[in-house]
Amino acid sequence: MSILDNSGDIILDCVLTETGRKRLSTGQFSISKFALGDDEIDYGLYQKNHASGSAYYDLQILQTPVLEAFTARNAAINYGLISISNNNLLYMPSIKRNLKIPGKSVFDKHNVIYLAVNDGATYSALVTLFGGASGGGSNFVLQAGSTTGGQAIMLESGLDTSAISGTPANKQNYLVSQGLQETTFSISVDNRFMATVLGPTSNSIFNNNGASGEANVNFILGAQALVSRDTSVRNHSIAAIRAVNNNVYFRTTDATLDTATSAIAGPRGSATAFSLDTRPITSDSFTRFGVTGRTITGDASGNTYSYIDSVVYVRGTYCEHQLTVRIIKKD
Amino acid sequence: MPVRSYEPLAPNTDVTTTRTFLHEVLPLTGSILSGTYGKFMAEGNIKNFTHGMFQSVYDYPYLSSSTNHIFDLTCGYDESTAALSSSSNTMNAKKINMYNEFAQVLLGFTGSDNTVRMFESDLKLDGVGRMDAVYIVSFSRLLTKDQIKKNSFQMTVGTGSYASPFTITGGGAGDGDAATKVLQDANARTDGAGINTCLGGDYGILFSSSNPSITDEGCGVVFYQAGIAVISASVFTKSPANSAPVPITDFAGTANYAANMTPAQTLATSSISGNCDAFRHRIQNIQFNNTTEINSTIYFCRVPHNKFNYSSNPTYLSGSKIRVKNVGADTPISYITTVGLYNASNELLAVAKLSEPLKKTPENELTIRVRLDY
Repeated sequence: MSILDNSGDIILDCVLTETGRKRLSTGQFSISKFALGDDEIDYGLYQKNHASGSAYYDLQILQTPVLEAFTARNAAINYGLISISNNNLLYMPSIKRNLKIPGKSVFDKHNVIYLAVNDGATYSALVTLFGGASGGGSNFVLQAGSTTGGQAIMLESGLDTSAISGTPANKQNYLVSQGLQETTFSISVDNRFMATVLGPTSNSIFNNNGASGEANVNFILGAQALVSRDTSVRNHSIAAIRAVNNNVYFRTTDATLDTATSAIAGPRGSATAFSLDTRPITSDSFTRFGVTGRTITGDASGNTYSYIDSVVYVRGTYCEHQLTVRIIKKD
Repeated sequence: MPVRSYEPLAPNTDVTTTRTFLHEVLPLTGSILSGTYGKFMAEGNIKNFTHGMFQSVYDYPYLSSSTNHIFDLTCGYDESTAALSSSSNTMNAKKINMYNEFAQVLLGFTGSDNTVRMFESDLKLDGVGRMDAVYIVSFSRLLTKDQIKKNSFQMTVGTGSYASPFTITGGGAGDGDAATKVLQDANARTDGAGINTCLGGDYGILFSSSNPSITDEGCGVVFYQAGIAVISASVFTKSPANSAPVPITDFAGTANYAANMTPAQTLATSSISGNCDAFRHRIQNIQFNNTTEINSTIYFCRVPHNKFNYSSNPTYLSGSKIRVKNVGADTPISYITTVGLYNASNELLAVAKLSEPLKKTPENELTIRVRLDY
C-alpha cells in the first residue's frame, strides 16, 4: 500500500474490495449508497489559532499524504464522516471506560482485560495471583459467562469536559435534545472465540443518588446473542446491548463528587456494562491464535497459561471505543 | 459496523455507464525475435515443443520468471494443393493439420461437404485467390488484449538474401527491389470498411502497399479479435526486371539448412520449427495497436452542504470538544480522504481514495465522481 501521488490534479484511486469481488462473482454486486472517511487525518494538526491567519489553520492537514486504496474490507473507512444537522455543536460525546467502581467495574492488568475461561480453575488462580479475593484480585478478572457477582466492563458516554457541568439541564441541552444520547451500544467480538455478550437488563441502574451523592450502580447482566456479522472486521459479529440512562449528575449539595462515580467529566448520556462468554477453545486454537505455556508477571506459583488477545469494539451512534481482551486458560 | 453516515445513490441520477476503448502501441522489433538471446535457432526466448507443431516466442528467455509470452508461430498448407502436399514431405500431416485447424476456427466450413474454408487474399469468400501455404502468427492475449486495432497492423519482412534478408547485396534477379515489404491492413477501417466478418471475428487483408489499388492482391490476413496474422508464403518473392515475381531462392539458406531453398521447398522438406525459424529470421518488425474495451460505471457521489461535516475520527475531539472549533458558532470542518461504496447490507464493495484531502464544510457541496472499470 503506497502513498498516492499528490503533486498534480486530484485523482481518485478506486478498487473493488474482497467483498465486492465476491459479490461480483455471485451476481449480487449492487451499490446503493456511499459513505466518506478520513482515517489518515490527524485533527490535532488543526491550528485554529495560527499566527499567520486562517489560511494556515489546516495547511498541515491538507498536505496529509493519502494511502492508496486497498481491498481488505476492514481497513477502508474505520472512522467515517457523520452527518449532524446542527452546525453549532461544539462538543460531541465520547465513550470512556469507567474504572471508578471497584467490585463492579473490571480493571486493566498488564494493559488488557483478563477474561478467564469458565473451567473452574483459571478464574480462581488469577484472582489469587492478582491479590486474592479479599485483596481486590477479583477486580482484575472477568469470568466468562458469569452473570452474577462478577465484574463487568463498564462504559459511559457523554461529554468528557470539565467546561460544562454534568447537570440534568446540561444533559438535556447538550445531549438529549441534540440526539446525541446513545440508546444502544454495538459490541463487536471475534466470533471464533466469543459465544455471547452479556449486557444489562432493563432493571440496571447507574446513578449517584446515594444520600451524599454516592454511587448507586447495579448492572444485572443477561445474555445477548451475536445477531449479525460485522461487515467491516473479519471474523467479528455484533451483539446489541442496552444503553442505560446515565443519571450521574453534578449537584452542589452532594458531598461526594459526581466524578467519583463517573468517568465522564461533563454531562452524561448513557452507561452500559457487559461481560463475555467464550466458546470452547482448544489448545490447538490457543497455539494458532495466541500463546501457550506462559507465566504471568509476578506469579511465583509455577502456573502457566495459554491466552489469546482479541480486540472488542464498542460502538455508539457517533463514537467508538476499542478494548483488548485477553482470553486466558490455566494450562 | 463502524460509526459513519450513509448517503443513498439514486440509480437514475447518480449512476451512469460508459464504454471507452483504450489503445496501446506495441512495437516488436525483429532483434527480439531472432538473435538477441543466443545463437539463431537456439535462442533462449524461443520455445520448441517435442510435438513440433508450433514454436513460442517470448520477450526474454522463457525459463526466466519475468518473461512474457508474445506470440506463437507455425506454418501449414492446404492438403489439396498438389504442389505442396505430399506424403513424403516432412511433417506433412501436421502441416495440413495446422492449416486446417486455424482455417476452421477462423473461417469455418463451406459447401455441401462441409470442407474447411481456405484463407484467401481478398475479402470475398469465393475460393478465388486462395493462400495455399501460410505462416501463422498467433499473438498472445497479453499483447492484443481485446483486439488488434484496425488499420494499425504492420509487419515488415525481409526479401533479401538469407544472409542479409533486409538489404539488397548484389545484382541479378531482384536487383532494384526494395529489400523489405511492409505488410499492412491498409484498407481496414474502425468503422467496418475494408473488413469482413466470419467465425473468427473481423478480419482485414494485409497488403504490401500502404495505398493498395482495388486490383491489388493481398498477401495475408489479420484477424483482429483473434489476434492472428496469416501470412502467405507467396510474400517472399522478388521481381526480376520486366518479369513476373519469382520466389526467393534462399528463403532458407545453407548457413543453417541443407541447401538454399524457396519457401515452397522449405515447407516441403523442413520441419514446422525449421520453417518458423526461417520465417522468424525474416521478420524485421511487427507493430500494432491493441484495444482494451473498458466498460465503466460512474457513481456521482453528491455530498450536500449539510451532510458529512463532522467526523468520528478519534482525533476529531479533544476531551469531547471539537478540535476545529473555538466556539459553537464556528463552522464544522471535516476532511475527506476516502469514498466507500456500499450495498444495501452495508457491505463495503468498493473503495476510492483521493490523492489529497478534500475540505468539507456546510459552506460547500461536492460531487465526487467514482468510476469503476470492468
